[in-house]
Amino acid sequence: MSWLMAHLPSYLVQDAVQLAILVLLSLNCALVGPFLLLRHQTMLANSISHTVLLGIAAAFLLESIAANWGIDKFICVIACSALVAWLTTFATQKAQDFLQLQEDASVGMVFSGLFALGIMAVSACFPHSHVGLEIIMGNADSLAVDDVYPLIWSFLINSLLVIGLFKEYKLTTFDRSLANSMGFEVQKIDYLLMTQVTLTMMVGFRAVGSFLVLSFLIGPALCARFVTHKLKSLIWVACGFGASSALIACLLARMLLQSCRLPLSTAGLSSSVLFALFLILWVYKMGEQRRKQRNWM
Amino acid sequence: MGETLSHASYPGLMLSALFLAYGPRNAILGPHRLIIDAVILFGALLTSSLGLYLYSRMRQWRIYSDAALGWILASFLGIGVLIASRLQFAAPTLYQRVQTFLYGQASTLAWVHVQLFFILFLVIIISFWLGYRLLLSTHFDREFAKANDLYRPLFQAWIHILTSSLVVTGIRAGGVLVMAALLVAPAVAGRTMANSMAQMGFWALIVGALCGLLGNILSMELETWAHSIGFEGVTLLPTGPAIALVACTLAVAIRLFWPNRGIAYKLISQRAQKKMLLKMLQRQQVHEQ
Repeated sequence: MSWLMAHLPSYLVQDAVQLAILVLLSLNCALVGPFLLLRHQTMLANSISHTVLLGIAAAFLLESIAANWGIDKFICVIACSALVAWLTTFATQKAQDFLQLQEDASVGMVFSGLFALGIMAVSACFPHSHVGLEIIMGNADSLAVDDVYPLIWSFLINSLLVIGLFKEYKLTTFDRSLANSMGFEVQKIDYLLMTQVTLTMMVGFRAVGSFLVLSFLIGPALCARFVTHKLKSLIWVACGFGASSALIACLLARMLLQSCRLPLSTAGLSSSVLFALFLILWVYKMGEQRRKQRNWM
Repeated sequence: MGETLSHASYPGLMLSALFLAYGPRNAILGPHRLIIDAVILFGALLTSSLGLYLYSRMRQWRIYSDAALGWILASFLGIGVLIASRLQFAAPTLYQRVQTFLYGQASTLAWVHVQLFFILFLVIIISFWLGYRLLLSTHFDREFAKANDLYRPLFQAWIHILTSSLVVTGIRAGGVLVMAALLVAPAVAGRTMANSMAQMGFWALIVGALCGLLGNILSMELETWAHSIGFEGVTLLPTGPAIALVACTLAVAIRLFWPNRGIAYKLISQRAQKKMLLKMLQRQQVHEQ
């Protein structure tokens, strides 16, 4: 690997790393995204992506303690984010059940409350660092080879969980009451899915920032919904769409940089490519519907 | 929805900053900071309305509402980040100005902004007053409204534009967080406190104003407390998050404890009523004996 890196021009290596990371990230998200979409939990994932700021601040605060115990810093961040994600999910559910709020109202309130706490923690303890900005946007153009490994790990974990628990996820997505009556622990499966989402977000936030991971989670799944309706093919097609838009984004970024001298953020580019893909598929579907109507008439 | 609209306005901010950076430079960049603000906010308004329009089209295509909201939020944010990355190198000062919009700079508000907010407030009140029946019927049952000739697409578009402009001016004041909180919390509180839509609007107004006031006070008090302890130059809680915290806590408290409606209130009063009933029964038994 290092021989390869030493002998290729530096920007190609950089691009390869970037491509690998973005493709892995989109594969990760495409494994989890269709489930989120079908369970109507995308706004919950969005609020988790914001409230993990609180978790990250807490992780930074506890870093010295964790180092004494020998826990790796990255694991600490992921653990704290997972805890905050559980808190968010729990609070949202309680707001819906106990406070009898509507679904989107409960999500919105829990999100603003916890995100406010997160901003308070960040501005109180790290007033001069730009922690917030990096988390929002990430920096897809300063990635190193070391950043690939967490993504590979999380891809392995995600695919193991999705393949192993496919029946459970499928049942609890489409028919919660049946799953409940059959004895599946629907709540625990919910929390497990949210933990997967948090893991995916955390490994991706160095690359694209936790806010933009949402576009990787929803976009490929939404585009795949235009193409197919079966769950397994949804996941495969989402993987395909996500990986191809990551590839196109990397190519575009390099091309624009070399020929038009236009430095653009690759993360933003990948999100825009997904949006363009969505628009193309949507317009095609609209045309198809119109053609069907004409044939029928 | 509030969060989606505020994230959707992000590319608009960037686009208008681009326009300012590359457009008729001497005419605009020279004078008033207000004109720059106005142009930036207008761009934000455009994309916010575009986002709202796309959302309604997506709903017509039976895409789930939360998926549509999340997708518009994420993709518009991504496009905004794309433009921002270009802007960052092309016009750094404008970029900084626009970044303040994301986090809200409540400390740089002036009387002009207050006047602007007041005008917007009046416009909204007048629109709601004149179009009350239209608004209510179309919101709750569109087919009924259409059947009774109460559906005016132009009015709907006007309300959409008002919503977007509300969100955009709110972003200027407190950042994205404040908009998300203030669009949800007063509504939740109002629903608990009211018996009709008009009452809900009234109470939501009061609660919203109260949240803004208390949030500001909280932020300032915390800052003075932090200074007295010894944290120098640290804003413990910027105004935006303070308002959001106050709004959520207030909404939850009202939801729990409002007389006759609050959930905890009902539980406690049920328990009290049970005790009273038991006591009365006991007294009757003793009396009969």
